[in-house]
Amino acid sequence: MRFASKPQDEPGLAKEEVTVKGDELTARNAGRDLQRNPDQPADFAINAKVRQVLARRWVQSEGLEVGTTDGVVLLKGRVEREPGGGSAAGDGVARDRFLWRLRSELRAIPGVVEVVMDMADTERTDRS
Amino acid sequence: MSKHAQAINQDRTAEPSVELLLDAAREAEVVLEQEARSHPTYADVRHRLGLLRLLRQDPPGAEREFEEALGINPGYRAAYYGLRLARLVQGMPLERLKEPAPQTAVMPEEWAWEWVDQAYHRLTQGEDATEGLPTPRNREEQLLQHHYAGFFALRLGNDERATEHFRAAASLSLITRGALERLDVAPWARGGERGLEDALQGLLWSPLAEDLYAYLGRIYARNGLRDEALDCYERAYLVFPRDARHAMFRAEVAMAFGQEAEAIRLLTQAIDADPTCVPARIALGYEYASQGFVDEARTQFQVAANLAPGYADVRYNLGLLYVGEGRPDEALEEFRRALTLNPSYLPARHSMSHLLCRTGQFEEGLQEYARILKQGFQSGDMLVQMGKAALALHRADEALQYLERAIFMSPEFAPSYYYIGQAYQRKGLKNKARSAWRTYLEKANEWEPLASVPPDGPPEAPA
Repeated sequence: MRFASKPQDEPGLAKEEVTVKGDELTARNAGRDLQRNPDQPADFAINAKVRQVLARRWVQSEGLEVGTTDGVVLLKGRVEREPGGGSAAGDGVARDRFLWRLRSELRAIPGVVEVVMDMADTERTDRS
Repeated sequence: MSKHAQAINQDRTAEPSVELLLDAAREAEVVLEQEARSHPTYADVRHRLGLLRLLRQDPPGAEREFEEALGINPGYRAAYYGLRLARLVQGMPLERLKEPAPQTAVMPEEWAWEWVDQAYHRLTQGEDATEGLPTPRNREEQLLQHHYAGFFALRLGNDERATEHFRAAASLSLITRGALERLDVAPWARGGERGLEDALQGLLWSPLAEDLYAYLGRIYARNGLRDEALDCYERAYLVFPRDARHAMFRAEVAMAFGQEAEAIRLLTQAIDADPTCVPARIALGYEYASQGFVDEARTQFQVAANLAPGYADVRYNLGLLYVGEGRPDEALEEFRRALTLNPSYLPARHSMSHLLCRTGQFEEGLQEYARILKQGFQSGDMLVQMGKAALALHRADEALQYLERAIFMSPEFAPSYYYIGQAYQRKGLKNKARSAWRTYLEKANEWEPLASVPPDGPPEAPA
């Protein structure tokens, strides 16, 4: 029996590296680093795609740090949307639902292996 | 603005169409009032409310809002001009207008506020509003004068003179021409008989209102009403003709609607109009980067970094570009610059730590990761990287600590099991290593295929 992670899942071993024969697991080359698939988009391209998704969802970039490291997307700060869209500002349920959807969309960007959100409950500051 | 926008969802199957009605000004009012209640110390919210009240023909209400804004932030120059406008349009006596401007730094666009303030002032004195304004020094100033001279002529019922000024403005600016035609008030076009007066008198004629129209435009756009959004941006241009801003507003809508080629065209147009427009360069850099145009993206970020050396975000993205190009030293330099500008900038430290480890500088990488932990942030993938670095430094016990935390935090993150297997192996715990690798295989195999990106189109339906 042979296991392999899907190529787009990135941190996977190549097929030949780990095998299970009968009940015994043999890890050949298991001391090697997991490598990203070299055909995956580079972090800067992923980061730009993340920005596109945020723009499409009218998330304000102010107060939000956006980064990508080795396919892991990191959002830190405050997710504040432009008004409109029918959901009341500050509605916790709507916000959580939105974040869940946003995470799914970001996960769907080719090359993204994980989305880490550190949504501090910080308020925006006065812009006057 | 009381006009309701209409968007007709044309159903191709001849089912009855659905008509969406939205009054962006009303929606803005609700949102801003709510925000003002929940954040009573936000002067900018009060200022925007003041503009909205002016737009809704409520100068006394506007005056109160601007006073509130200045009460919160006495140095708020835009609110100062807003307050003067609210008082001027109410025909208040001069002594109520004598407060000096706040002793804070003059805003770059303040020349326009000042001009229009003077014009309204003259108008209340029964004088020609545009007499005595400084001679325009450039096209932007010329345009502003023509737009306002046209409007003040309309107020005095002099349609002929108004038409003259708008014609002159249209000859200077294709955007003015397009805006008047789009709003169906161009005196030279069919349909222009609707009359300048009706349409243009309803605008809030102040350069301060550019921000409000942009805000209303975003509300329309977020509700999928692209045309209404674009109308708002035309109004923004009429009250403050700035070509680069106009292109930026439209580019924002193009980006939101997933029209990437249009977004690039408009952002390029914004940069042509104002080569120092940093937000346009950054946005264009992202657009190019997302489409794989690395050289073009790098150029935009580099120019943006030269124009505005204080943007940590630009430095960070330049660093990412250099990583992608296999230039780790330059990438590290950019990450360090980003962190000098903003020491708590997490993505930059995260990427830098990772790059340090990737280039064999494990000790330095671990130190940077430790700083991130001190900032109060940790994630499964980061702890795995720390574990890997500790393994590379032959510190299996330390690696185990990180990796166990990683598994605790993100039990589904498969690589944690792979590396903890390595750590166990180093410690001679073969069974544990096998068990960890087996879990790795299970977890890695469990991952579901990724969903495709949703098609472009209107933003999601209300929750």
